[in-house]
Amino acid sequence: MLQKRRPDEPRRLLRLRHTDQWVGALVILALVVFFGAIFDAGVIRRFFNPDLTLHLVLPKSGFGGLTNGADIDLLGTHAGNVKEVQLNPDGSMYAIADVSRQSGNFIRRDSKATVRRRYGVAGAAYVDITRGTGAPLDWTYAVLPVIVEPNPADTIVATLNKVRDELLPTLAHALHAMATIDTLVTDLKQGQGSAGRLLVDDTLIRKAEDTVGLLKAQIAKLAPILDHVTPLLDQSHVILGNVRSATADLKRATPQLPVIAHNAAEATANLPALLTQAQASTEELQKLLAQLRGLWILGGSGTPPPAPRRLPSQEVHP
Amino acid sequence: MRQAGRRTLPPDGSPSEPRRTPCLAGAAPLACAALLVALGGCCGGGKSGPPADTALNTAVSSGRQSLIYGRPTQSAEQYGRAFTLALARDDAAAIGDVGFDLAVARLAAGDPRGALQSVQRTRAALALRDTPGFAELDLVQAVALHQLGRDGEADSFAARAEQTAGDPQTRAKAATVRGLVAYHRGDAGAVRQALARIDATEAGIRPKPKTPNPDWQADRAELAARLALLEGRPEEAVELALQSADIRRLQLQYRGMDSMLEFAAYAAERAGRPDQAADLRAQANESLHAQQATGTTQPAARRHPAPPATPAPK
Repeated sequence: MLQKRRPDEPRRLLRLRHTDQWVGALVILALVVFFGAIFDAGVIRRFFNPDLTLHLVLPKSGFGGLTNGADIDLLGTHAGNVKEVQLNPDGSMYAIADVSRQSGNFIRRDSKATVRRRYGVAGAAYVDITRGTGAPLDWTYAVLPVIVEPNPADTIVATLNKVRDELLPTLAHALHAMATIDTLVTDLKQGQGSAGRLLVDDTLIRKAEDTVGLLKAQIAKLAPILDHVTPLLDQSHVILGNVRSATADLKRATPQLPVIAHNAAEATANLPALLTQAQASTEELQKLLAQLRGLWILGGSGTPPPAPRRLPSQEVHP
Repeated sequence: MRQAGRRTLPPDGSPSEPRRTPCLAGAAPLACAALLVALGGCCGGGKSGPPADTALNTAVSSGRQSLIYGRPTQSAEQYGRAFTLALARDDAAAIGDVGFDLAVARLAAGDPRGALQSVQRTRAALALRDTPGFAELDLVQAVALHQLGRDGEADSFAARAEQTAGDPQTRAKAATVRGLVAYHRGDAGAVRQALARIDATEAGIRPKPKTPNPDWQADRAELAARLALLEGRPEEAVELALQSADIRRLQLQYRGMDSMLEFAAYAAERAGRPDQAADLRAQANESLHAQQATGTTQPAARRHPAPPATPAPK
């Protein structure tokens, strides 16, 4: 039994002799993998060069698809990630993001943060921050307001809805107009209304033809009357000749008109003086009559006093 | 103008005019000579005073004649011309007299606003010449204001005219105006007082006239009619109004007459006699239209407004 066990002894011894080396190599390999993973995750880099924390105040309209881990882009390159999205009980929303320390120099108070979709209308949401030129942020508690870029798909849908709202009544009106035209044409075909009767019934056309015939007859009757127009024209020529003669006489008399007008002016110029003399004579006549009435031989009692200039009060009639 | 008038004026009552009459060289020279001597002895010896302003006198006389013949618009035109001549003469007395006449003519022409302007213009011209106004100006201003519906001011001016007037006619007319104002206020007591003052004024005239003044009678009857209506006696008001209308007809005051006829129609309506009211109103309208057609009157600014509070007929 011992002989049977002897052949196994060197193999066992060999195995025991390399065990420690293998364990040591394994430990070293594990340590190498561990530290490699740490370096790959940037833990050590972050430990020595930690990221900056940025608070992004979201609009009340919503997150715009922003989730934990969403990218933060600055000048078209990756600058950090959204670490946490928070919803307060009062309704306000904000997100906490980590941005690289190098990016802190470009993010200022006047930087604009916008939530966009990666592919315009689809894709993951990310925050695009513009380069600022104003005062630097206080990185102990940096806050930036964020706006959510309207989704072009929503704008297109709203525009389509508006077009549809305006197009539908127009289509309804067009349909109504077409229906009306259809009714009119149908009525015309059936001979309803004046125009329809014109189309269907030819009585009016025949009456018009009759009227034209009557007109021809009337014109034929006018022909003898027109024959008398020529003598009338001749007579009018004679009258015009007389008028011409009278006008010539008037022309010859015209030079005398200024003399006549002058004589008339002289005569009328004397009228005001004549009127004044007439007034004066009337006044004197009144005085003479008053004196005559006062003669004792005519039954008077002396010259009456002149009438007062002021009217008596009894002439005032309320 | 004045020079021309002066040249045309002969010596007043000159005795030489009849003596130069050539017709007396005929059959009875002695008789004619005796008659001429008699005439000359009676009407000769005229006074030679300062020359009269013939243009002004003619305009005043024409205005007066136009008013008498029922042409108030023409009268106002003539008095307007006379007022201008009086201003040219710078004669305060003439300005006052003619300004008053102009206001009276404008009132008669149915233009109380123009009458008021005339009075104010006259007052200004008199004040410029340190001449006080007179009671007649107050009277005509009161009438104009009454016709314009400004009864408060009208009563004040009428009261002043009544207090300051020396002429009893002016006092009586002012009392009439105050009575009319009181009627339009519905104040029967004041109308009665106005009537009493008219009676007292008439009683105070010395020597007492043989016949009562018809103008006063007409005014008194009008106020009595209005008082009767205010006191709820419309039948009596009708009778008195018709009496006043009759007097005014005789005095040729046709505008006042048709005014009274229409008031009588109003009173007849109050008395419950619509037929009589319609007849009287038709008479008044016919008269008024005929006057307007003949140009003897213009539509008055305010004719017969009803009192503000007339008691119902008993």
